[in-house]
Amino acid sequence: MKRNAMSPPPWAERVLVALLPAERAESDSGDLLEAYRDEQLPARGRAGADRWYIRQVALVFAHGYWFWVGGLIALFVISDVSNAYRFAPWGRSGVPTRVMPLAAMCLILGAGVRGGWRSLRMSSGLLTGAATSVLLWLFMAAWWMTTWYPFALVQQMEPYWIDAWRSSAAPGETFMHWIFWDNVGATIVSGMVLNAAGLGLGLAGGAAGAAARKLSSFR
Amino acid sequence: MADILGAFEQAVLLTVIRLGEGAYGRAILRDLHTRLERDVAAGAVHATLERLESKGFVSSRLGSGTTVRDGRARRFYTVKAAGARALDDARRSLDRVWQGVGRPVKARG
Repeated sequence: MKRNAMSPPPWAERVLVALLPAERAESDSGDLLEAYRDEQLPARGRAGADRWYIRQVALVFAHGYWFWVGGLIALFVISDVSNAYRFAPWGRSGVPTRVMPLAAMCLILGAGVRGGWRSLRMSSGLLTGAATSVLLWLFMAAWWMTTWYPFALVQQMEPYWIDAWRSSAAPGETFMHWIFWDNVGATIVSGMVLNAAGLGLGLAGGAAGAAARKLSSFR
Repeated sequence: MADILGAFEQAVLLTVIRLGEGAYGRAILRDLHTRLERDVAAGAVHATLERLESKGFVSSRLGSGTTVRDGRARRFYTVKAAGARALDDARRSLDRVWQGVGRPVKARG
């Protein structure tokens, strides 16, 4: 289908409508369309206006879902730090790391429920659940690539990590090389698991949120 | 205790009052952008208006759409009595805090 020269990217419009509350989707998306055509297109040209529009859509997501994304990132950082320092005296008695994945799943599900509740669409839950998990994964990748070295310096002193290195490293592979590639592998595998979970939980949350909102409106 | 309005909520409410009959999302956004002299995200304005409406500070009604909006309806906002009271309270509190401090503020040392 050919795109109208005076309209923002259709996919961005669809995402925007999915993120907005059902009762405000028409008026709020109309405001953005009006600003796009009246102000942004003449001032910035098509590419610049498209960038502006996409940024506005991203900010709508940020305003609506910062709690879920921020919560997931905070959980991940706590979990990762307590894992790296698991043998430190304070780490041993510290955060119950098994609770973390469950709490993360609840947050992704919560984002999906909110998406479904606000927009009355199951697909919005899918979008918000997937977006929160993708953002967490991007943060996770950046975090692991940034922190692997200082954490490895701590871990190379611990018998647990030394045993793990000896049992799974290739012959002659140094501890640092092994733990770096262990991180890369963990980033890829956890990304696949996380994003699959994001899709599933988002869809389930979206269905639950939309159904709950419809039920509550009948009462 | 009454809700304490944030600075951005006050700016949005004052803009709704200033624009009167013409206070709909896009006009509010443009006015805020001009007066605050910075980029204001449409999402921030819409989220604030939604929150103010849920608190009972503004009400809204749908108007007609225009060609430039592909016929999508405009949502017009009006400040309710509770919103006007909240604005007055916020102004009174701020005036009390400012008492005894001259403008422009001079730093010591």
